Amino acid sequence: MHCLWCHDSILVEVSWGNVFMPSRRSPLCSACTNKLQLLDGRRCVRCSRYSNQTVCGDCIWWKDIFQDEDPLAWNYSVYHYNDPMKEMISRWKYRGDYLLGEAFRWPFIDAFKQSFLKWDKAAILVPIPLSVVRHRERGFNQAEMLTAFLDRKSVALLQRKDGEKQSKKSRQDRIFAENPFRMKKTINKPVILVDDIYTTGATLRHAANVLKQQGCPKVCAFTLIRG
Amino acid sequence: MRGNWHIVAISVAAGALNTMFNQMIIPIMFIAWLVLLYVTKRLRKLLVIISFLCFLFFSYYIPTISNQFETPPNESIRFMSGTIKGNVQFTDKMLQFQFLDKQKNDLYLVHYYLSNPSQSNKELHTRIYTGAVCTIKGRAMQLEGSRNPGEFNYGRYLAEKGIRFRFEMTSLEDVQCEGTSPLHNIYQLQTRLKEKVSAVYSEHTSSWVHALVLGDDSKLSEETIDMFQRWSLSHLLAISGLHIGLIVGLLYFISIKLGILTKEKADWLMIVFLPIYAIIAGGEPSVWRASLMVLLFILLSKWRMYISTVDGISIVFILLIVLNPSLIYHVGFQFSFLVTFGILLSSAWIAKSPSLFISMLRISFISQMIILPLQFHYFYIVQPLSILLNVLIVPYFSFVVIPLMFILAIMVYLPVIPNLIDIVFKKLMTSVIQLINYIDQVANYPWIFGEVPFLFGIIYYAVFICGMMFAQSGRLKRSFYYHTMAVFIMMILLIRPYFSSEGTVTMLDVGQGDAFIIELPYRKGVIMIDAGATFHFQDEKISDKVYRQVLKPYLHVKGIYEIDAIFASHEHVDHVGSIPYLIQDFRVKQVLVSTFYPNEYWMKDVEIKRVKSGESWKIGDHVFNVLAPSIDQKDANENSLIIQSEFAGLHWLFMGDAGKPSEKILLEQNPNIPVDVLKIGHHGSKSSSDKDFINHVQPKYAFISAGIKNRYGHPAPEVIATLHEAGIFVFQTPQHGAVIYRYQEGKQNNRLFQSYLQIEP
Repeated sequence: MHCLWCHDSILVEVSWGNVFMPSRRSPLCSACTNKLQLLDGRRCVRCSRYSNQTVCGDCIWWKDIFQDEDPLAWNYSVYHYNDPMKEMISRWKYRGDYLLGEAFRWPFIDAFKQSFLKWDKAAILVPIPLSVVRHRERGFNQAEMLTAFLDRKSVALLQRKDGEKQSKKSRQDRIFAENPFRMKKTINKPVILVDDIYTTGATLRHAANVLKQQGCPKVCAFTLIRG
Repeated sequence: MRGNWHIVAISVAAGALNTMFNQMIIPIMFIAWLVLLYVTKRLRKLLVIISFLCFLFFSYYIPTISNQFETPPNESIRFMSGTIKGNVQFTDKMLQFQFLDKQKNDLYLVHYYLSNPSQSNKELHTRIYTGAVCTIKGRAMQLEGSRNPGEFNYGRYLAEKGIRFRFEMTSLEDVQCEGTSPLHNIYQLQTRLKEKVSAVYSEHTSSWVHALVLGDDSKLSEETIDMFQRWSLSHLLAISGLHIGLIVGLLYFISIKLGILTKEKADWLMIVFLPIYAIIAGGEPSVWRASLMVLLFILLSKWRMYISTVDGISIVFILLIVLNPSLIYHVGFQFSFLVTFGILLSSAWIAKSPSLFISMLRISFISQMIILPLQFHYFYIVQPLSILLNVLIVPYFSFVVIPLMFILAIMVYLPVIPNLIDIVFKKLMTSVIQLINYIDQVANYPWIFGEVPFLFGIIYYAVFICGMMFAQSGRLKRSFYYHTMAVFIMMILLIRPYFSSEGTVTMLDVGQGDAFIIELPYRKGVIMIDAGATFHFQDEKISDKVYRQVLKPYLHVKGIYEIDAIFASHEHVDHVGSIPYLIQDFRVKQVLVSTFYPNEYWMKDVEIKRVKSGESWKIGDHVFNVLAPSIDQKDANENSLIIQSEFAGLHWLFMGDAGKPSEKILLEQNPNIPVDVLKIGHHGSKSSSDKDFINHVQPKYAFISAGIKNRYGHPAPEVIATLHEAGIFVFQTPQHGAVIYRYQEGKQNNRLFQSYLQIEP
């Protein structure tokens, strides 16, 4: 087997830890795996950003904007957005290397088990959709791919209007832009929004806002990367 | 499959264990493990199926070994035709080889006792060579198993090699042999190399070159081999990865660095050389393991395939088992694979060591700990300090002795320099052996475990693997906790006998002689009545054979290191010959002899108590009554101690070698003596066991200890007839092997007689 990123062949090192319980095959070699930085240690309890405070400045700012009624209860992310990750994401998302997403399968599953399994068991996964145009351009939705990794009921509740790519907008633009989401049907169960990256948190909050307005009791987010 | 070969290898090993131990827990655990792997998606469906099929197939493919050996189809002297398999072994006493019978395809072990020690193959002109098609004359014989608990089972050992019968050649004159196989040339090369080495170097040095380069340790002294085994250093004497690695490195260095060969050609040289060297070096599994691993990696790299070392060892393991399923029973095979596998699994942990010393310590630790259950199973004994001794001795062998031996082997054809090295090496090696000897004396704190239950192995490995897992991931506190638990489990094994309410009286089968061992419940005492030995008529010496092969293994298998008392009935070798050896190796608290017993040299090394008729001796709160001798009858046999004691309601009378006169005196002095079990006097000789005596004491059981087909004709048919007429059940060692009486303290309904050879009374 070859590494999905660097294409070197992968030698599995068997040791006491995995001799009877083989580790799940990572499609990345150990060198590439080590380049990616898992978020650990102190982080903001609301948005998963590295922070020495319990709640980071960003989240306090959001709190003020929404006057204590932030539609997004909290966000949990798996990876730090370092340079290798930036390269990997661009190859995966923008250059259509669909299979590269497999590299995130088990870390994503493990993190989900760690942080969401004990949370509301009735909660339903909702992937952040792409607009029809964007979806046609890219061929796949990375958020749907991530959602499919998880062993939990998921519903494509949201629809997205076509517009400029988020990544091409400034922070201010993102936050105060018109809400691009619309709901296909209502839901009365808690929702976990799934997306690849939490950058400013604007997109997720737009989605959360729509859900909340339509009567969804609680919304949080699970994202692969904290930007 | 890549990266997962070890899963298949573990499945093969589990299948083999299933056949070897036949314990329900093995398939249950194995299937639960596979299911777990499948459910947690750690193994693909195909691999789960392959693993399961391997388990089933090897459960069937590994031969089962029965302890009941077949009787050969024809036991008369006859001719047999077939092919000679493997190396023909010559010692100064015998000629031995394996022989595949043409008619029935049975494998025989053939031997011929040389009448003249100086005979060699050349002089015999028999053309008995590897691969020859022969007709030989002689008698087929049944394999012989062990006759005592703990005794080495030679028959089983042969059966595990696939041998079905033995065959004793009656003469060499009727042998007709034709042809050889290519193997023969390699064996001849080996013989020639050995002769050359012996001719060039001193006896001492050549014995080490033979052992470490040519895989023949028969020239090393028995004490050295014994000591190496006691201290778990034997792996140094077996040619293994270390040696193969060295010689491969040396060959590559010479051929490439000196510009003789290209890398490509050197690889091919290796591919040809390694199998030949494996055969020259004795063809032990450890040699094959190491050579095949190197071969595999060279071959795969030719096809641009790279696999992990764990995959490599797994593939070689499966390959060897497929080629020769009997190998799984080979102790060296088991040790070699287990230790190498353990070290490979730990390679990351060993690499993380802060210093060379620590990494040596880690290697030694893993090697010793991973084989502990096997060590218990085969040897019942462990030297805990051997881990430290290994750290000291292994580098000396790896960096000094083994390279030197290979250099000496290669330099055999140079005249002067080798001799210089020879002298220096001899000095060095002698002092190192002396050092080990010294340590053997001052640090000799063995743990004698006795036989361990199968479940112990499972629990031990579970705890050990957890300990290693935590050690590797740096969680040292947890690791320490698990390894402490492993030691704790061993402690429980050690103190087992102190919690057992079972007591035993065992008549050991020592051939022509007596040896009884009494183990009181809760290990309150271990008492022996006699400890016979055989007399070597050729050397006119007392042989330590009985001690080494029967007494010591029995005591070890029962976890005994201390003997509270030995009653020595009288001074004949067949009753007391092993006492000096016992005193040397075990803590013997006292030896009790009669007042008429002559003084002997070993008496200065142990506390001697002179006992008189009518006295009662309490040993470990158990009473032994001395009933004789009361008067000196000027005859060693008639002056035998006669001991009476009661075990859970059964009254035993041990007669020693006392004859009819003593029986008369005994009855005069003790007319109402209660006897349920009578140890018949003098091995059932007709000079003992008077009809009147037997009918008067009326035992229910009689015990007779005598050699098979002994020269004295013991036991006498008259005595057996007397006993049968009186309706007494007779246990005798020639038929029953060791006989064990088991009882529970304080209970009379749980008594049981067991014969080791399983002929039920």
